[in-house]
Amino acid sequence: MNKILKYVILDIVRNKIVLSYIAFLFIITFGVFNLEDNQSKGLLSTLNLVLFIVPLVSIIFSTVYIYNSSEFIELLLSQPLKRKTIWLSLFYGLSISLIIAFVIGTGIPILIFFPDFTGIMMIIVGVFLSLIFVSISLLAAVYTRDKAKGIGIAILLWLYFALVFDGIILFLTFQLADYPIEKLIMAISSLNPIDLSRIAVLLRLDDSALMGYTGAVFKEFLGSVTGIVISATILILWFLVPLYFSLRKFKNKDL
Amino acid sequence: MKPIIIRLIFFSILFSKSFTVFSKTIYAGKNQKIKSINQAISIATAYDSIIITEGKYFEKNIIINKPLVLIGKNFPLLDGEKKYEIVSIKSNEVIFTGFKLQNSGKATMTDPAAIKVYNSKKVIISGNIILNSYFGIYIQYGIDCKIKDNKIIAHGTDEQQIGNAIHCWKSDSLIISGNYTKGHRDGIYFEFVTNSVIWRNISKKNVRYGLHFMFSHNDSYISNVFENNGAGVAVMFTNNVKMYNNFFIYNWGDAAYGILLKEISDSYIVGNHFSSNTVGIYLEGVSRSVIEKNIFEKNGWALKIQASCMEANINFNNFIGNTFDVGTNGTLVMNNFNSNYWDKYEGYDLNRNGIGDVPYRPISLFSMIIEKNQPALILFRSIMVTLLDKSEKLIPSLTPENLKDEKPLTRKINL
Amino acid sequence: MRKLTAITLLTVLFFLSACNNKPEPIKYGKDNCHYCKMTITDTRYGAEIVTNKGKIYKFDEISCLLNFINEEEIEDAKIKGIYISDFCGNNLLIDKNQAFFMQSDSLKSPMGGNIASFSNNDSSKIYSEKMSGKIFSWSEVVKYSLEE
Repeated sequence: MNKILKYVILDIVRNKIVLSYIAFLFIITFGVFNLEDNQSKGLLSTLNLVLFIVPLVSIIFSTVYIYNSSEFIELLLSQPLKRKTIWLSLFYGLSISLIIAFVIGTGIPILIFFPDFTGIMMIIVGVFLSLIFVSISLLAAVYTRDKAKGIGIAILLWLYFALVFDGIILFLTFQLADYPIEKLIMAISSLNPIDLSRIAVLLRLDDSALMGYTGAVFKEFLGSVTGIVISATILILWFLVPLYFSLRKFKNKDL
Repeated sequence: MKPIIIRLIFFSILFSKSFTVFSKTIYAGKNQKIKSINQAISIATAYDSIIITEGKYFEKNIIINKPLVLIGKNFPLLDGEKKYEIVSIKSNEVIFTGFKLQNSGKATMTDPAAIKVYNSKKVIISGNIILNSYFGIYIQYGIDCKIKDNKIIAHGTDEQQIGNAIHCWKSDSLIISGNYTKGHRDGIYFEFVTNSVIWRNISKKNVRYGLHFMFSHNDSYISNVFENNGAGVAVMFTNNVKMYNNFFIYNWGDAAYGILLKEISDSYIVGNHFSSNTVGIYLEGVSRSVIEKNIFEKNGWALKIQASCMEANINFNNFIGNTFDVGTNGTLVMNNFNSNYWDKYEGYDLNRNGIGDVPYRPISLFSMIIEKNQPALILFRSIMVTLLDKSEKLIPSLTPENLKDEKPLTRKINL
Repeated sequence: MRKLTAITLLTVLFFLSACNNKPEPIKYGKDNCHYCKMTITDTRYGAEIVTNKGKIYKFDEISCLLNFINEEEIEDAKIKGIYISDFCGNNLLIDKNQAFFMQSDSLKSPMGGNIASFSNNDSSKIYSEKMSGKIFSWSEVVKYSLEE
């Protein structure tokens, strides 16, 4: 497995896309921290970057990579290797290189400007989002044979998590305005890894006071041990479950 | 004209002389013949002065029931042992100055205070230090009283019941100036107090409000500092309030306001500085009022205007670095914005007259949504909201058509 | 996809049914009066409305609650219950139908409505003697508060 993993990582690094991803993240994060007069504002802009760009790059890059290495995968399948090993190596390779890219590109500037728990939390959130969206992309790629269709699905999934889901929440808050829906909204939005990450980081910033009663409910939840355990579990499930299903499909897939 | 003035001066000298002639000065204290303050008061006649020397005094309740001057020398300490109201002033023309008071009693029915004034005129309370008391200075039915340069400090928390630092109720023509209050429920509390001035006070870290104003008409508050109070400042059910040159700083929390205005009319908010508050000014039921030449800086919302407001004129203010400039729950806008400086303004000024050529819309779609629908706040700073706001800025359709500044300034106003 | 919708619907229903229409304790020093926006600090006067759908409005005293009903025109049919703090200060919410009321100007309640409520008749009598107060029925409370 180590050999395949090494090969996958080397292949990805040679690809240069990951290198430009690092450069992009690094320049933007540094720029944002230097541009904003107020450093906590810089953190907020970085948060947008983490919630928007990281999932997008993770999901699209991984999907494309899987399709592009289909010949390589076929080659590996002809060797006496377990399918599980091959698939997991792909997953590890992709997620390790994307996580490293994120940590270098965004993590280091954050640690320079915000070497406290909030900064570390943001890095953790970014790492989780990378993992989750790599895992989701594998699921999308394994279920569709057609490359164009697969990429389309990946983009749609990203759109769903980044935008459509919030639209649904907004719709729900209007529809159920007569009910005490704070807790319900909280439960629903913790189901979306992007929303959960956004709120978890926001509540650590001064801005959390702007979130009023809803924010207070969330703060109470995330302030408790159960709350932290539940939200961490949700994030972990978000990459384990798609990974598991993609693996199951890959094992039985007729290539 | 001149002879009259000279005559006046002459008479006043004569008059004041007559006081020194007829009134005496009594010394009381540990090293004096008269050991207790109560004793000194009982032997004093009207308009005498009592000078109390350094020391600790446990006198239960001191009642001042005749016009006297009480002066503490080197801050003699009066202790209420957490059981008694320390000083009760029940006479006109009392001057009480230079004491240190601590540990007044607690009782929710009678509201004991360190110094309480009952139905009196022309009382002056100045230069005292009041520590750990339930209420600090309490005035009921007072007229023409002055509360000056006192320092009132307690260590209240949310859970524990605590009174206000300066509490004025059903009074008229008060002057509250130069006081420092900290850690009480409300720093300065006014209910049914008219024609009064609150000037140059500092109110910090109080559990609820720095200043709390209800049913108090024709008052002014000028050059005060309200900093880091649990809920900021509340001014409610009042006409003709003038608020000039005050500082509202870091009143930050889920429900904190620089000023909470409710049912206010004919009032002026001019030259104030609102910095780092969750909401700079919250307006509900405000009518015919002027908000001018203020600085709104780094607030969550600079202004929150409820639909019940009419004829609020918001002109010549600086809006800098606020997360939201204006929030409102209404669509029909009967308030005027004119000639303000908005740092978020993205228009242009072709003829270089300092006035932007396109109007500025200070309200974002999201800030409207959350006024109507609080739980939607969960979407704060999400990508969808950013996109919604951007598209609304380009093609305004849902935000109130006439809520705009027609003449936004392109340069910061020097305030 | 159909499964997913079903699951979402079920969770929604679960949460909505979970909100039983019971009063919720007021967090003194944290919660704000829905009508006058003041922070609720006095444990003796807090009040709250619970709607049929389980939404809760909190107030710092009865007069704010009644003004809210009167001005915002929340329909009586939508109100499931009205609850008021026991004046004796044990942080207890009593149903308005089981409460006893007293009006006295020496109460000095947060918004000057000056009405206290009690869970039993005896304490309302004791306090009304002590503070020269008048015993009120609910309808008298409504009338008095809205005339103020």
